[in-house]
Amino acid sequence: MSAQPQWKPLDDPHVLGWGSVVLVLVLWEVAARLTGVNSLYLPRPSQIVVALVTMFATGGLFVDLLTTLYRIFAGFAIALVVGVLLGVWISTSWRVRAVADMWVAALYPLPKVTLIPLLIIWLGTGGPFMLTISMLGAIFPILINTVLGVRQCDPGLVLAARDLGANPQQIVRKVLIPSAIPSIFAGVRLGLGVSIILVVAAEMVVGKVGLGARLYLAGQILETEQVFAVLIVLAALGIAVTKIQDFIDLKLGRWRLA
Amino acid sequence: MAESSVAVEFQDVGLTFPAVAGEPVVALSAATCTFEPGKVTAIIGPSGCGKSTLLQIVRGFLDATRGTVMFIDRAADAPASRPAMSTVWQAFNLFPWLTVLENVAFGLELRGVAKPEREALARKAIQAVDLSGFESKYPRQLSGGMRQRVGLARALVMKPDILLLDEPFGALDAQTRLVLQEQLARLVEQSGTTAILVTHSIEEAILLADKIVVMSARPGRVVADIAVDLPRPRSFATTQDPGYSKMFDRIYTLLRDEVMRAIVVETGN
Repeated sequence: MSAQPQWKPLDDPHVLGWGSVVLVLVLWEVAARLTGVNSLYLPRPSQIVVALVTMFATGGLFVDLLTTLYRIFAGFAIALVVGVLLGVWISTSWRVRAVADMWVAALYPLPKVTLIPLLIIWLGTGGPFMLTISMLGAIFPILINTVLGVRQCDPGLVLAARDLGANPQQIVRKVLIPSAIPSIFAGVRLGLGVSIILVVAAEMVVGKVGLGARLYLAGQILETEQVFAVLIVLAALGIAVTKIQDFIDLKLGRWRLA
Repeated sequence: MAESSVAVEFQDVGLTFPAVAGEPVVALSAATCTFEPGKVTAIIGPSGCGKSTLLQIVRGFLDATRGTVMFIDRAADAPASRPAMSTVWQAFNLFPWLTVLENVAFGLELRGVAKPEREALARKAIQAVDLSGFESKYPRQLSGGMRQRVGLARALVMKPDILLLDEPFGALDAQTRLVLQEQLARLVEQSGTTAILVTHSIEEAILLADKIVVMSARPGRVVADIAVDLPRPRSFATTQDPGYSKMFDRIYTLLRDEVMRAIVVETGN
């Protein structure tokens, strides 16, 4: 064993992760050039990059991205607040739980895309519709995980808080919610994923702006480079969301790792 | 610290949980005993005799289904309202997402004490249990003995009239237990607080208590009420005192019979 551990690239998860991406892109580029496949079916990575840059520079892709992000996160924010509050209410009152169990059992397994036609009839295709579909996607995982998290709270902690003089409201704020945070966060991960899917799907069906709308349009006019460019933006969005969640998870979970 | 003059009197106190399925459960049958102000009273008895139930009744978290629980101000010789109490738990029950300092300051925060003031008080309490330097650690980073010292600081910082100790060292190893018993004995003597200690350990009861209440096997009754007149301050050296071994033998004999009965009841023979 040497005193100075030497850096082995193949033992570094970052190198492995990013390296595999670069490798696939290079192989793709080379294979496409060698076989001369029609770029209508499979454009080369270099062509996609050009399309991507052009769309950002002149094609308003940035506006589409911001619009989609706004739709996802506005609905998600409502789902987070309502889901956590409702979840705590459900887990602290057996009457509310009895009622909610019924509705959650009925609505949670329902694929939310099936609600798109009805929501369009009710709300049209504008902002309220997008907000609602995004909210619907996120709220059930958050609510269900909040209920699970609160239920798993150590009763000894509630007793200790009561002993120190906590009233019911303080028990909720200072014991039940903090102890449910790891579970709530698991729900946030799932919920945000569903929100992204639903908003992009809804944009593909009815949107005029947004990444989903742009993707659908590009497909209709056989601009395959643009289709890939939008997919890359969506993939990058996925990576960014996952990494930000990892970071927040780490911050919130300091006490678990310490 | 202002010493409380409130005593707790139990007369024929019992608690029976109503039947959910099958028989109703008698957690405590008929306990008669008093807890005098400024004194440490230990409650000892076999598993399931209702020791902890008794503590929860004192605390007000459970209501007796028979008998009377009275709080009496000895100074005024008049009934008093339920005095301030804090509990130290066998399972520590520290909030894992809070630091040592935040755990100890938790009760003061609930009371609305301003942050600088509650942190100053918490730091003093942490110092009293010899944990200075660990204020920003999380419970998970501490040993069992250290965690229970945080539990003790968290209870003492509330300046309770009555300190409730529910098998506080039950989850600790024998060596840690010895050290903490001495430390607790010192802290309780210094603070002059009334304390009720529920324990399985005869040694712990004798080292810490002014009076030992021995309870019977389930359903729990009080079978003996023994004054401990060994000199203070007590420490491990007290266990060498001839008075100590006489008292140990007496309590052990009482308990052995009760534990045997508990075993017979449990196995149904």
